[in-house]
Amino acid sequence: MQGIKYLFILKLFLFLSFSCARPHYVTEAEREINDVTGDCGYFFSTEKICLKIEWIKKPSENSFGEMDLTFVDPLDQNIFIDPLNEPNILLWMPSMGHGSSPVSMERIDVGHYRAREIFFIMAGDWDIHYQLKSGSDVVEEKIQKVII
Amino acid sequence: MWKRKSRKLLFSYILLSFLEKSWGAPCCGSGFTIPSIITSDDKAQLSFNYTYSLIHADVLSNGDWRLREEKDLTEIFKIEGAHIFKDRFQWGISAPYQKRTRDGVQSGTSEGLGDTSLQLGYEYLPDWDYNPLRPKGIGYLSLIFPTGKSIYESADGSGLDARGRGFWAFGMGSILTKSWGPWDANLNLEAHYSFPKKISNNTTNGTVEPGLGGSGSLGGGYNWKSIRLGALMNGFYESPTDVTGTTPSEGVIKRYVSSSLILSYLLKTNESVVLSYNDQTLFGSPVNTSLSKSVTIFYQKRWPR
Repeated sequence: MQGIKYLFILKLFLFLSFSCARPHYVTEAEREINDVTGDCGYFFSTEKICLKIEWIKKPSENSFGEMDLTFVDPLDQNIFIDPLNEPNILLWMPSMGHGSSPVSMERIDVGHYRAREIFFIMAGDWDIHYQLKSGSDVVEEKIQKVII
Repeated sequence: MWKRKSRKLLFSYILLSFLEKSWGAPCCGSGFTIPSIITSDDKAQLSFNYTYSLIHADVLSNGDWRLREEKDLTEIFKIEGAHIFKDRFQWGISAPYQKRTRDGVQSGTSEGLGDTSLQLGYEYLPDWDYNPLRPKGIGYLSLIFPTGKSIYESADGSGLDARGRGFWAFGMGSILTKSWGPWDANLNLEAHYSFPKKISNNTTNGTVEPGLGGSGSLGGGYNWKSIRLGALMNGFYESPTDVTGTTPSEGVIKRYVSSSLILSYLLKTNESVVLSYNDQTLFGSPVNTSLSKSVTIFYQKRWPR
């Protein structure tokens, strides 16, 4: 009887040992959230226009992020163009199926926009949707996958 | 006589093992609740509990963990009641009031009703003769009402005001309890289905499809005079939440294991208080969830048959 008791305790100990969580912590420095500046950046075929993205300040758990959006002519990227439709950014967490707080967008100059109040409400895999909208309709969008 | 009374008290303790509940990502409200079920020989029970829960880390869909730097606190005041009818049937209700406080750039406080639930139970395996091997078994059906605001209805998208999952859900499960002298053990297995929901907000216009989920817990305890010291491990699983509509996306499964240490004290024959510590970071390989550590204080009054 005593042997069975000790065997049970040993099995319980082994079960708990093997089922212990083994966390792999990642830091903010290991986030994957990058600029999109190479070649044309994102090409919007409906307007034949290129979009380049540059982070001014990346968002963190305790601060909003800001980014510059630049729309240029794909044939001559020194020519800045305002898109015909309204630029918009949507943050979406596909693994959980929900969004985040809205991003504000301001036109700074011709073809130059600044997005502010970029904030991801939790760590995880997120999609940044760069959209061109006509009213509430999304005319075209490009999706950047990031890990926050 | 003493033995019989002692066992009755032990069963009363066993039911207190079920006070732990599932905590999903706080953004999205709590997960499926382990029901308010009478596992003792009593006629009715009423419980009040207070939980203080802090998020420790977020777990990404690839299993990596990220520590939370800012405080994200959830407090829950919950009332639970259950009553026997027709000898072996019982119904139960659970109503949580939730307050969430978050620091950081989107700091604030939000409070309100969480998701409420109703249960219908049936004692399919009675233990009238205190058989040394056969456990007592209670099967149950649960219905979850999405009375708590979900993240899909969050006013500003921050999720601070999300206090529920937002879905109607139907579940079924079974609780088995057994005691041997001062020792007791309990097992709870449960499965549920959350119904799709149409949503329309700033970010999307479509349907959220949560699907199936389940949980299983195994607990045990040692009783000494008016004190019980118990432990409980509880594993949770939710199938991926897919979204169709203007922002279609495929979700990722959610899973985690919650472990609890439970200290119970029998104030009177039919009154108990419990202090429990719950930690979601110790066991298992969690995926796609937030993990919290919490303390619960629990008071329960029971009425004998």
